[in-house]
Amino acid sequence: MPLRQIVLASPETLSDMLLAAEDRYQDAEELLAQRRYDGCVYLLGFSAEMWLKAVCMRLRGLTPADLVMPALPALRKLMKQIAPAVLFTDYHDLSFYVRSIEALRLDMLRPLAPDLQRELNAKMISVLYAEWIVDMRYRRSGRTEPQAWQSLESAWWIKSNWIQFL
Amino acid sequence: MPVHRYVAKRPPEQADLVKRLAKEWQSTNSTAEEPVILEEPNRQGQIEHVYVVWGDWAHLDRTLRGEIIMDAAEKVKPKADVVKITIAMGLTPDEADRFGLKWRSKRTA
Repeated sequence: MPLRQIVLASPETLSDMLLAAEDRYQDAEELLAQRRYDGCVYLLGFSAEMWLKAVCMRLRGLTPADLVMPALPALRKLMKQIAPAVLFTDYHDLSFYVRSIEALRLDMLRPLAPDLQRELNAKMISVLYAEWIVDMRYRRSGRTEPQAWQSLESAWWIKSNWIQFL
Repeated sequence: MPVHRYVAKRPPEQADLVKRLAKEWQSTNSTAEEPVILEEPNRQGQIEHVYVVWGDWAHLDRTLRGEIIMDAAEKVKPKADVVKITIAMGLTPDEADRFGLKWRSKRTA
């Protein structure tokens, strides 16, 4: 069956997304080894996005078998209630998911520990949010080896630590 | 130079779908074939998952359909109930059948 049909017929679950996040991360490592820095950063952004989304979904009580896409508008609506000042640009907005994690934890009366919050902002906002935007697909962005390494280190951090946010 | 505030509006069609869905959601004696709205409660009886089957939004992507459901929910439910919804899934009849959703029997139940 063609991939388009497969994807449309079986919407992604949280479990699928976590596997995809691992795959995109490993693909990015391969691209870094091949000195394909733009492609490397491009895939790292997606992998980080998926781990951040996974944290948001788990904090909302969703299970590994629950669907990803139908959970996002509900998260957006919740954020309008509990953190109306948080900006939303689109569903690839890393900053939105970082702020959602902070707000969800606060709403659960379990605010993030200051060290963890500082690290989250340093890795996801100062590095990956600054270095990655989904629209980069339409251009050669000229990322350098140090920039790609820095993005990899940040993506590795969320890959290794996303569980800590639950 | 005069400065005017520009407020981006959603396409009128989306607003129309929200309005129609909300109207159907509120209706207690609807005879319309679609949209079909399925509310799935959790163990405490709170609605957590909402599925809507509707042919009219076949051309819209799934995220947009989810936004329409959430906007309609906001019109028909108290805010405290809206924020408990974690899944808002919009499907066409064909997609719902492929997905295995028992929506036809629910409609007649």
